[in-house]
Amino acid sequence: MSLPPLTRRYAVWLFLGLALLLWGCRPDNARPLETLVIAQGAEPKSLDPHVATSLNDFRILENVYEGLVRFKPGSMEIEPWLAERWEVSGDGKAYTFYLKEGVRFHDGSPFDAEAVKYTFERLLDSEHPEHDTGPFPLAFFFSQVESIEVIDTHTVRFQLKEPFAPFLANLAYPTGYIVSPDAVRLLRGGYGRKPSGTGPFHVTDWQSNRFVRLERFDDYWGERPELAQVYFQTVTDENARLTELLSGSADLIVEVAPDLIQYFRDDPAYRVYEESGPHLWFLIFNLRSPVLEDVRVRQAINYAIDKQGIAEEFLQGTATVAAGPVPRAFGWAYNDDIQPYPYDPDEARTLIQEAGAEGATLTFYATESGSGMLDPKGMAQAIQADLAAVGLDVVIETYEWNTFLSKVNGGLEGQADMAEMAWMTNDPDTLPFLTLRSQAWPEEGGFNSGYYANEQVDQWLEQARRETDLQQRAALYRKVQQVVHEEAPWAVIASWRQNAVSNDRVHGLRLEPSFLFRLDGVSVGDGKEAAE
Amino acid sequence: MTAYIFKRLLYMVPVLLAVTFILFVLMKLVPGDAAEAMLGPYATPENVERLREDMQLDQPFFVQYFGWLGDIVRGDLGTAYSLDRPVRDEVLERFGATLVLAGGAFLVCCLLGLGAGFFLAAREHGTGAKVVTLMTLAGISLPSFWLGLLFILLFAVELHWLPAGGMYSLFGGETLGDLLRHLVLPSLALGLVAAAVTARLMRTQMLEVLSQGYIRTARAKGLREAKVLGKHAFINGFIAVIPVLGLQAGYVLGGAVYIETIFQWPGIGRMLVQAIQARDLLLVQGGVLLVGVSYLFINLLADVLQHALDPRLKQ
Repeated sequence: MSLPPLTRRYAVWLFLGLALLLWGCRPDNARPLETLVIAQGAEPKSLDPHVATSLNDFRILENVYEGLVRFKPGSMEIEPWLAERWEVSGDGKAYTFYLKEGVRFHDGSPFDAEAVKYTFERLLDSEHPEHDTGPFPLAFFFSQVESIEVIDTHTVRFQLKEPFAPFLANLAYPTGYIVSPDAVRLLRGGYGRKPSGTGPFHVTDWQSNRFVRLERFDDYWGERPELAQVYFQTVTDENARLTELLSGSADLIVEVAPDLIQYFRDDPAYRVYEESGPHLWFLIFNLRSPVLEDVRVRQAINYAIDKQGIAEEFLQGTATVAAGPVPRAFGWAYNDDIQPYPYDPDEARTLIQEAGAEGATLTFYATESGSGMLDPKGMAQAIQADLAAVGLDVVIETYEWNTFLSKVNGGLEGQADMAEMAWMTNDPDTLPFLTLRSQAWPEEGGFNSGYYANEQVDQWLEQARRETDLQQRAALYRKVQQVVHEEAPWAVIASWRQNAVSNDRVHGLRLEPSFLFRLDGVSVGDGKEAAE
Repeated sequence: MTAYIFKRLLYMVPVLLAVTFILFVLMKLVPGDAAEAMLGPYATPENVERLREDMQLDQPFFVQYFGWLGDIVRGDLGTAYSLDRPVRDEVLERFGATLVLAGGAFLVCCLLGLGAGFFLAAREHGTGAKVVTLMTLAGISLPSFWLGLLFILLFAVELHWLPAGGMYSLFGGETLGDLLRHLVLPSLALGLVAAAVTARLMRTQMLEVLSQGYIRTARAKGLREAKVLGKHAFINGFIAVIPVLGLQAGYVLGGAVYIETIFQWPGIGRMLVQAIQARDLLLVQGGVLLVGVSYLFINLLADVLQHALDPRLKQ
């Protein structure tokens, strides 16, 4: 029996239809030359450098804005940038910066001493007409600034309330980058979506949940970047980021999962980038929780977690076990005498028994993904399993990153017993000062979400930032590390080796130990870039 | 006919009310307070309290429910705090993208499903029929998210024929061709399962029709086989399949949630996942409401269509 004519006709139409569809689907959108596509895991919250706090936002900001000083490529030393040089007064309280001339913002307005003054006054002065374009969560980086004085068009002086050792390092961080006063005055709350800095790239398009596009800024004062365009694509799903790279739609993906890194290491068609940095992944304990107010339970959790297993097996060597609140990257301030709590479930069980906390139920806040959080879901589950083994019942609650931050930064009291958290800092002062002092409790506007309090630690940290002698400062940080290690307000788990994977079109990228992400030396091309 | 449609629309009112009520209760059961979630870490207790009053969160349950219902009737779904944008605008925009995807998937379901069903019935015992039967069996058994991943690996990663995700390319403007190119894989992944179900049902229905007396009569009086199959068997089989097609349309809408996540499709499914993670309850409410209502209307449409085509149902 031959096929019924109707079926045959149907098949012909179906075939024609599919052919038409495929014709319609031919690639008609070749990638423009000198264009780099980066896929990262979260939509930026704001491109106002004073509003942004996450590494995803910083990756974009770093190429759009500049500060008075910056970290020297490949190190965490400070070098002059928008300021050609600076002088510090004898008492360590006045910093005078001599600014580069002929620098323009992306909106065409000139960079000068007034712009510097405006930038920091908007950030710090609650009476400033544009202070309400915030909130500025990291403004306290500069809370020691008393006044800013314009000496002449290209000279500006910062007067500090007291000597503040991390001041220059903070100026090199996005929170210290200079914004265009004209653009902020014009756009006000909308500035975060239409930013204007002095950097080598300017933002030309931002499509929500799709991408932010940067283009080369033609009036840039410095060396002209090789890339004409950069797309920061938002691809929240980890597997989708991978397929974007594999299919060639994206050139570069960041924060790649450990088991995938292995996959790319041996493939000559891809390049793997890794660099250790001043990062710390830890658990915050809620010291107002009836279970965790007992130091024995906190120490028990420290003993119960197999940090080695997490860093080397679970994260496959993309992180190293950390010991205290100062990451090892700050070699000069690091306390080598402190060893991480060993993995000792028996000791943990004993301590829990002593504290009478057997079978306690703990709520644990975790996040889906987030800047610097490594594998937050997987690590939370690994910790949950380790704690179950010593008789603690952990309930994980998972939130999207921005929601998670709001919840944790608001303080854990009444919400959760512990939360995972990660910080990247530019100075050994920053993390303990913002998260371990009793003056940094959430109700005071700080990030001490677990309400740790120790007067001695408060004092040492205050003292350390007034100390101009590096050795003296280091000694204070070592003492802080020792006490925090014993009192265990956190479980310090690991320090991250940041990574990225690109295809072989990408040249000249290097990751910075500061974790800031610079594209000025990057180029693309192998003659094939016309094909998507 | 008009009376039938009117009656069906009338029946929908209690169903719609039930949908809104269940949805509202479910959202109330979600832990956390919407006012606190909206204000974030910069909230002072006074501000939270003031916002709770503004949002009527301090009112009794039924006052809140009927207040919300009244807002819906006026077309006001509130503001999505995580996006700082009216829920209605966001939901409608995202729903448009979902309709494109679901439309593509439904087209796959109809073209392949009805076609394969017809073929299976017409060639009941052929080798081709066995192969197609096997394929439909596989289609029913494979979850569409897995199929989606497989498609991405094969067609995007290995062969580079089609893009791995998104609705439009980053470059080259948002053209129809570009959209189609991005639509092929997700709509196939989503539509094939529905197509397999449809094919098997279509086959059964047609075979049943073919065993009827009037088919024997038609063949006996010398009607060409093409006409027997195409006109009598196909049309009459198809009428019985229509309500199931309505269900399949609902299935592709629901399945869009995970297919959109895998393929980074900017539709309402992905929006819901993000809104749930952000605890943006108003946005979740608005999105689920729209999906639920559209499900009801699709089924209404299917029933009306069946009624129009099947004279027996008119009595």
